[in-house]
Parts: sequence; structure tokens; C-alpha cells
Amino acid sequence: MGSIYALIALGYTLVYGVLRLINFAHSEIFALGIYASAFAIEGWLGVTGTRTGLGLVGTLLALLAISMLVSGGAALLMERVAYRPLRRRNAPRLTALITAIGISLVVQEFLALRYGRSKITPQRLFEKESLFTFLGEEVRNDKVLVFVAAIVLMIGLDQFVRRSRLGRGIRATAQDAETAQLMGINIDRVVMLTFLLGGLLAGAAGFFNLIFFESARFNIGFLPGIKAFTAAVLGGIGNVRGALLGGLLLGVLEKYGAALFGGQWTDVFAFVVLVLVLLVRPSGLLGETLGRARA
Amino acid sequence: MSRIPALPKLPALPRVSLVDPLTRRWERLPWWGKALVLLGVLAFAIWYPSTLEPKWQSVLFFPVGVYILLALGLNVVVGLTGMLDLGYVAFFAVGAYTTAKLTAEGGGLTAWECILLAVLLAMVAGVTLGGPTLRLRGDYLAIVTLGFGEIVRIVAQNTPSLGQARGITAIPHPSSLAGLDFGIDPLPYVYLVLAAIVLAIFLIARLRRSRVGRSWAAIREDEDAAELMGVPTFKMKLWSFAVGASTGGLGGWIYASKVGFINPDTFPLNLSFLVLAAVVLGGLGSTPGVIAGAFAVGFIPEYLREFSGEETVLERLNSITGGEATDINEYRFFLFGLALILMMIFRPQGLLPSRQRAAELAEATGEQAMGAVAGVDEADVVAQHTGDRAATLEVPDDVDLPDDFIARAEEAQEEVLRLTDVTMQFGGVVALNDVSLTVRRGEIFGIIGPNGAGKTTVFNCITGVFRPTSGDIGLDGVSLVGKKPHHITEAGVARTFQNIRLFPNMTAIENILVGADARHTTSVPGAVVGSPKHGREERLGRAEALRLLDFVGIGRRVDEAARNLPYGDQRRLEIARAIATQPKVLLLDEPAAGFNPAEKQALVALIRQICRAGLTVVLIEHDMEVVMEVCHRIAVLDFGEKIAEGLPEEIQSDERVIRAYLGVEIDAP
Amino acid sequence: MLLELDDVRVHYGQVEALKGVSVSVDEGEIVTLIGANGAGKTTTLKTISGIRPVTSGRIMFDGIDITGTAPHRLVEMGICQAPEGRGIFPGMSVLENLDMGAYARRNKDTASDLERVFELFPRLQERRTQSGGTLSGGEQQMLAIGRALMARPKVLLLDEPSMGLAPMLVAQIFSIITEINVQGTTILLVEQNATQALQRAHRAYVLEVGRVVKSSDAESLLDDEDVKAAYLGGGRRSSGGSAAPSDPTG
Repeated sequence: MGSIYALIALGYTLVYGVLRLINFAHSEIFALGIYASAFAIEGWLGVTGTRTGLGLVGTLLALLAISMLVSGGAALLMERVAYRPLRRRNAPRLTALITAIGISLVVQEFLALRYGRSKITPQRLFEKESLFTFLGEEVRNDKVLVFVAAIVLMIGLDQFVRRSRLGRGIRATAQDAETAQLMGINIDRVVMLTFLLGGLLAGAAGFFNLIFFESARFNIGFLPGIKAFTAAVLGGIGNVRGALLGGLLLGVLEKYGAALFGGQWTDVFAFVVLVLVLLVRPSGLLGETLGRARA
Repeated sequence: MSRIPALPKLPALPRVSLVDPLTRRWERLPWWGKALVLLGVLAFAIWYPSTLEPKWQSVLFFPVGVYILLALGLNVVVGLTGMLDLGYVAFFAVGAYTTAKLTAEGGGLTAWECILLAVLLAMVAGVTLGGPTLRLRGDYLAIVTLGFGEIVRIVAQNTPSLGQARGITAIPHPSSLAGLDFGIDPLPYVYLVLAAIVLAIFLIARLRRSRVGRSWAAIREDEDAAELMGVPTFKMKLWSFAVGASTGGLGGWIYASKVGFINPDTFPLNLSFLVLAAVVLGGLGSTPGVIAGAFAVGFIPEYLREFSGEETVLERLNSITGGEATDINEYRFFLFGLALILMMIFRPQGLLPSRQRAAELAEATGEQAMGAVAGVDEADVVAQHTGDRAATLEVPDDVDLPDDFIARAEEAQEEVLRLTDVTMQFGGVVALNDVSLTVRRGEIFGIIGPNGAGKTTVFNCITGVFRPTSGDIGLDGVSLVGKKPHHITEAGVARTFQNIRLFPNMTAIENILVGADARHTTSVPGAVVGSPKHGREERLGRAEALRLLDFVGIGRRVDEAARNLPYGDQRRLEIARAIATQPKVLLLDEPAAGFNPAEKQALVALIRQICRAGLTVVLIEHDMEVVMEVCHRIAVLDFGEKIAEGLPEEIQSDERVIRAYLGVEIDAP
Repeated sequence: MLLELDDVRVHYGQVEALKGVSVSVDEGEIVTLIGANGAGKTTTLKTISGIRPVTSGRIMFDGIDITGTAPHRLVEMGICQAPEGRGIFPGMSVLENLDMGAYARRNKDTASDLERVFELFPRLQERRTQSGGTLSGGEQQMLAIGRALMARPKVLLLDEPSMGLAPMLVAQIFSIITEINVQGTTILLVEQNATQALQRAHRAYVLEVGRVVKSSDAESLLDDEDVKAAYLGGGRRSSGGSAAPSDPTG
């Protein structure tokens, strides 16, 4: 679970790093990713039973790609349609937050209206089995898959931001937008890129979430979204590695919290952690700013 | 701090032109005209519901009436104080659960006895949430409040004594009162909620016009500047939360006693959003706007349900989303979401905007008004208004500071402000290194030095914006180190800012009143009930403010929004606002920046006048002519160190100063 | 003319920050804008770089109307700026910062440019792996100028390169500016340190509250009485410039 938080958290972190904006609607981007794979399984790919071997690998990759594309596309669209007009006007932050709430409502309700308000449960792709036990805890194959894939994606993002030309552009914009412009960076493009990257990762997170829980509801984005935000803040919002650390940490904390206080309090637990972190160390464990995140 | 710089502006935005003229006409009405209109509205609100069928009376109670009440409460937090609260429904829930618990299932109290408790407990909840979280930055606050809303719901869901998912049923109705029989008939409840709404409007309006309301506005406009002008920002934000929460609690009480049963699903998160939508749609900060917004949000879906064309509307909507909804109500949130987005893009000020909010946004769109006030980040933006120049130049020789301003500063010759070995480090960078300064009472003390020498840092240390890494700062022998900025202001230090930081959408006199309020002691309850002390302070404050405006030479601009003043007048207003706190020491940060020679002369005269009135002035200035002309003594900073201190002539001939600052005659290698 | 501003007006909201500024820079020149804080110097540079929108007037560069062109396009065309306050990316190394300067270039062969920058600023070579935020003020200024040079600009805009620097460093920076100019880069320089700027520049404009109030060759401005009194050291050199302070009461 922690790795899913971390993937979503990266989206918050990237956008915040560049625009100093908390993209509240990011959780819906994640939800769209879930729905995309849920419907791709039966609709587009026509999967009717569990699969094995190469067929399974192919299906998983195809679904991952579909989720990422849908979410990435949605994030881009959101930036173009809703945020850019505000940015052009240099609108106050409150305006952007309210817009985000609006987007959130529209996406949630769209999912609810189109696919119903009750749970959907798509076809299972592979049988879940326990691989080994670690620290007295059974480790299931789907968990391992999700964890490894998420880590690979995150390392990929980290390297992209740190090494590529576009990644440098993102970091420069995050550190000093005006100077970045003076260096010939097209800010609009950088902003679109960050939304796209965040969207792609949220899509991946959505897909992982689906194979993990095998069900979805129209408002499924909300709680993981909030928790991912908590994770981003925990690690230091705006900081790519902080999001990673924060996500994993929150996953572990939740697990032990639930064991300690009972499962029904899990969600409260995340909020309490958020408040405590903000009070004790508002800039998170690894500190803020995307730019300073170099080793 | 990196912000995305202004991008080329969009073509003019389409305006909804129907409502604006109405607003303007209203503002031109004389007071009795307004009173008549209000009475008319009230009479209508009392008469009209009785003509409706019970079904519509029910709708008027819930959602319409309850939404209006909640929206009014939320508007205090979001619209007036500028804090985004996404978990407002929590307070509604606290009020409702309190009522339910104490009246139903052997709680023993009657509904009427419960009102105060419901309101108080909601207020306590507000303070409990606010206490730890209000220090957070705006968007963090939004997320935390969102979480709080969920926590309350989850707690209700999981606590056996609150009935868990089943909730609490059989909550008794209130007993009859004033000829209204509270039973099944919805009409009495409509009147009940109407009474609550009128009460809320009245009390909130009182607060708004008091010291408290001004503090809220100042916090919304520029929180740091508010704190530096002596507003106890944290306390005031907490009060805002408390007032908002108690209104929510009242709403909860009304709802629970009418409907008779509640459960966690009565208080979904979406309700918070809905109420927020109402506030935003109507116009943040505007009472009639908020009422209209809440009415729209509550009434339109109910109306559409009855609407004969519902089938076609529904079909059309279904064809857009590909859904199979059978009730138009299912589209409610979808449509409100869309409305929010469109609203933010095309008419962010809402349908019936408040004056301040509209102005604020007009500035953001670059359609009107100015930049210098509104946080433009460079000293370069100082060019001033065309015209009106001559009028602002008059040196106000005939107007003197009111006597009470002098009282504090009579003893001469002794030191008033002392910095001892002050060091300020940011990370590894040393901004100030062992700086010691002594300012004597009644003098004009200049601090000069190249850009980046640490001059403004000195001010920031004195006023408590930064806490020095080491060293001590004393005012009349009392250490200021570690005190909060508003306490330091109360202790007798006031300042102006290099880039003017007025409260741009407040009027000139309101700006000064915020400064004067630093000395006032009216409590929030005092302002609500209109205590005699409150009235006295308001009258006195206003009179003082008017005199101060005259003193700095902008007496004609009392009711103009600060943002619309010419640049030079803004600088003067900022000085007046600082003086209004009755400081012992007045810190001026580059007051002459952007002035032409004639304006500089007027400024020099004004500073002398302030000094003659008995105030001690510390002046940071780049303009050598001004500094040399007006200052009694001068200190020179370079790279965070004091390299010289003395009389102007001494400074002018000091070798180190010439080399470091005046910068001429360097042999190029 | 390489760069020409024709009656340019710029507004911040209602306030006019530039009230019809006309400035021209010929190829190979050093032109300086001097004036007090708030005169509009930085705004002028930001407007040229496309960061502030123009209300009216025209900006020509190399014969092309560039009014309203996006900042990143202007860098590609050959206008690069070392901004006020240096604008170093604190989280990036010196080398990465320099690479940012070449961000907009299509030609990726930056080795020779790096060499040139390191030749001008040997200090930067020593510190190449250090992160920008930990450099001293002087080093940051060198980095800012070096970074702008990496874009191979036709015209280099420098905003207060001497700000916050020790006198020795100021002299050094200015001689490097001359050096860069001699190597063939046109320079538009905004300075508070008017004496130094006028000694280095070919021509100069004096800005006062958003207007050009004087323009001539730099040398004659150095001897101009008004300019001396106002900008060359607060009347220290002008005979009657310093008024006596009023009698101290404290």
C-alpha cells in the first residue's frame, strides 16, 4: 500500500514543486486510472479468466500502459482546461483550490453516473498466493509485484528529473521560475510535463490498486488521495525522494496503527499523522523543494 | 520564493452584467432606504412561506434554510478571513449529535435547553481543530480541515454511544414557543431557521464592522503585515473559526430537532463542498451573495425535480455522461462541480461579490487597479499615478500630531532602542554579524549601506519577523527577542515596508484603524453585544484616524481603497498606519524609493514633522540627499557588519564608508 | 541598431512603471541604464526579456519586431539576461547551472563555451561540482554572467552585477564585462554603481520614475553636474550638495 501512496504522492509533489499549487484533483486522476484498467480488462482486452505466463505479463503491461495513458491524458486536459486560464491571470491560490474541488466533484460524479454508485469488481487476472513469509508476515505475489514495479517507476522518475534535459528544466523552474524563463525554458511546457508525469504515475498507482483490491467505487480516489498527500507532506512536499520515503513510511505506520488501535481507525490514523507532521516538522522529513533534492 | 511570473493577459473576460448594476444601486441607497428594503425582504420572508404547500415549506427548511445558515457561518471563515475550510460539515455534525445525545434516549434535556450547549460544543470543536492547525499555511489548512471532517464522521460511525452507523433516532421536537407549535408541520421550523439566519446575519455584521472584522480582513489581505501592525493573527483566526463553527453548531441543532434522527450519512463530506460551493457561487465575503448562493444550491435541484421538462433535461445529461440516472438530483454534484470550475474561470468573484473580493480579483486579472500594493515583488514598480501629484505635495505644517501621540516620548537624550551584538544567520549565510546600535529618544537615525548589506534584516530582527541567532534587542530596557511581532508592536515599535504592504482592498481609514486597533482591547463578545467600551473605542479610533490622515496630508482620501491611491499617497498611508499604533520607535524602510525630487522634499518635511511630534525615527534609505538632510546620526552597514556610525558629516568623510558604499574612485585593475 | 525600444510603456495594474521608454543599443556597444531605485531599470530589462508584458510601444531586435514574444523564444533568438539578484539555481551544481544557460540552444556542443567561461572565470572551474547555493556572492555573480554567456547571446543583459559585492570584486566584475564586450558581445547594463558603469560604457541613459531623462555618451555624463549630484555619491563630490542636517534634538 505504501508504494501506491508514494506513486500518487509524486504527482502532488511534482506539481507543488513547480507551481506551489496543491492539485487537489490529483486523487481523481488516480481514480480514473483504476477505472481505466477495470474496464479495459473486460471491455477492450476481453479477459474472461485468470491468465498465466507470457499472456499474463502481456496483459499486465497493456493494462499498466492503458491506465497510465488515461490518467496522464486526463491530467494534461485538466491543466489545459482548468488551471491554465487561472495561471494566466495569476489568480489567487484560493481560486485554484476551489477549481480543484470543482474538478474533483465533476470527475467523481461522472464516474458515479456512468458506472453506477456501487462497487465494481472486474475479473481477477491471476491467483494470489503467498510466496514467503517475512518477519512473520505473509508476502503475497501481488504485493511483491506492485512493490517492485512501483519502485522501478519511481527510480525511473527520479533519474529522469535528475539527469534529462527536461528534468533539469523542471528543477530549474521549481527553484526559480523567472530565471528559468530567462534561460529559455518554456514554462508552459514544463508545467504540462509535470502534470503529465504526475498523471502517468497516478495511472500506474491506479492499476496497482486495482490488482491489489480488485474492486473500485466512484469515490475511491478520495482516501488514498488524502493519504498520498499526507505521504508527500511527511517526506517534504516538492521533494521527489521525500514522496517515496513518505509513502512507504505511511504504509508501514498505517499497518501498525491498525494493529494497535483496530482497523476501523486506520483512516483517522493517517490524518492524525498528517497533523502531527505539519506541526512538528512542516517541511517534512527530507525538506521541501524539488530542486534541492539532489544527493 | 519562486512564483510563476505574470503571463500575457487573456482577452477581456465575459461579465455577467445583470447583477453588478443592482449591487451598485444598493450601495447608493441612503441608510433608511436600505432599512426599508431589508424590512421588506424580511416581511416577504415571513409571509411567503405560509402560502406554500407543506412540501415546499419543507424544502425551504431543508435544504434551503439550513444551507443558508451554514453558508453564512462558513463565509466568516472562508470569505472574511480567507481560510479555506473543507471540513465545515464537522461542526454541523457536532451540533446535531450534541442535540441528539442530550435530548433523545434519556438525555433528559429539552431541545431549547440544548441550543447553547450545541453551539458551545461546536465552538469548542472549532477551537480544538483550530488550535493546532491554524498555524499552517493556507493549502495545508484546507487539507487538514478536510481530514477533520472525515474524522468526526468516522468517530460517529465507530462510537457505540453515538449509535454507530445506525445513528440516533427519536430526537424530540422543541416545545411550542411564541404560538408556534413544533410538530410535523414544517412551517414553524421555517420560521425557526429564519430567526437563526437573521440572528446570524446581525451578529456577523456587527463583528464585521468592529475591530475583529477589520483584523479578519487584514489577515486575509496580508497576514504578515497584519501581525506586524499589531493584529494578534493567531487569536483572531481562532475566533473566526469559533464563530464559523458555532453557526454550524446552531444549524446542527435546528436540523436535528426538526428531522428527529441523524446518522453518520447525514454528514457526508460532500455537504462541506456543497456549502462551500454556495459561498463561492454567491460571492466570497458578501452576505447577500452567500444567501443567494445557498438558495441556488439548495433550491434548484429540488425545483428541477418538479420541473415538467425534467425527463428531457435528464435524458440530455445522461447522453452526455453515458449514465442512467433516474433522478435529476443525482446530477447535483456533477453540475455544481462544473459550475465551480466555470465560475473560477469566468467570474471568480461570484454572483453578488463583496466590494473587496471583486477588487481583489479585478487586480488579479489586471483589469483595474494597481500593482505596487498588491505584492509586486520588486522595488522597481514604483512609478506613480499620473495626475494628482500637486495635491499630494502639500507639507502639512498646520496639522500636528494629536497630543496623545507625543505623551510617550517626552524624555529626551536617553536611549530608547538598543541592539547588542546582534547576529543573524540563514543557513550558512551570515546576514548580520555582531551589529550593535543605539538609538536615542527623539532622534532620526539613519541606516545606510549597499543593497544586501543587511539593513532590512535589522528591521526584521527588531520587529520579530526573524529571531536573531544571537545578541539582544532592547526597547526601553526590555528585551524584544523571542516576542511575537504583534507583541513587539504593542510594546512600541512600528514599521513600514520597502515594497508597500498596505491592505489593498481596505479603505484608507480602515488601514489606519487596523493599526490603531493594536491598542484597543474590545473583546469579541464585546464587539458582538456592542459594549460601551466598544462604542467608545470605535469613535475615538475613527477620530484619531482622521487626524492622522490629515497629518500625513491625505485627509481627502478617507474612504478610498488603498489600492486605488496614487503611489505617493500609499507611502504616506503606510506611515500613518504605523503611527496609529502609537509607537515609541518608527521604522521606515526606504520611504523615498520611487519619489521624484519634489516628493522627496515633502517626505523630508513629513519625517521632520514626525520627529518634532516626539517620535523616534529609524530610517533605511538609499537616497543620500534625503539621508544626509534629515538624519541626526547615521550607521553604515556593509556585508552585515557595522562599519561606521556617526554624524552625517563624519560619515561622508569616512574612508571605509566611501570605499564600501559611495563606491567612487576605485582604480580598475 | 541591434536592439531598439520605441516608446515602450509597461503597467503593473494601473500604475505605469515605464512611461514611454526609448532606448537603443548598437552592435558591439556597452550601453548602461542608471537611475535610482524604482526608476524602472529592472523593469526595462524584464520587458526586453519578455517577462513583463508591454502595454504599448515596440521592441525591435535585429530588425525583427519582438514585442510580445515569449521569453524562451527570445533566448533562442539571442537575448540572454543575468538577472538582478543573480538567480542562481541553488540546488544545482555550477556545471548544471552553466548547462541551464545552454538549455535553449539547438547546437549542443557546449565544450568550447564552457572553456570560454572558465577562462573568464577561473574560480568557476575550481568550484564546478559545488552547488550553486553555497557559492559566495561574487562567485554567484560570475556564475550568473557565465551562465548567460553559455546561450551565446547576441546581446547580454546584465542587471546590477555589482549588487552586494565588495569593492575589489566590483572592479573585477566590471573589467570582465569590458572583456566580454571586447570579445564581441553587445551589452546592456543596468547599474546603481553609476561611476563604474559610466566608466565602462560607451553610451548611457538616465532613468527617472519610468522615463528617460538624459542620454548621451557615457563620458560626458560622468562630468554632468546633475548626474553627479544625484547618482555619483550623494553630493560628496559636488560642492554644495550636502545640506546640513537639522539640529539634533536627541
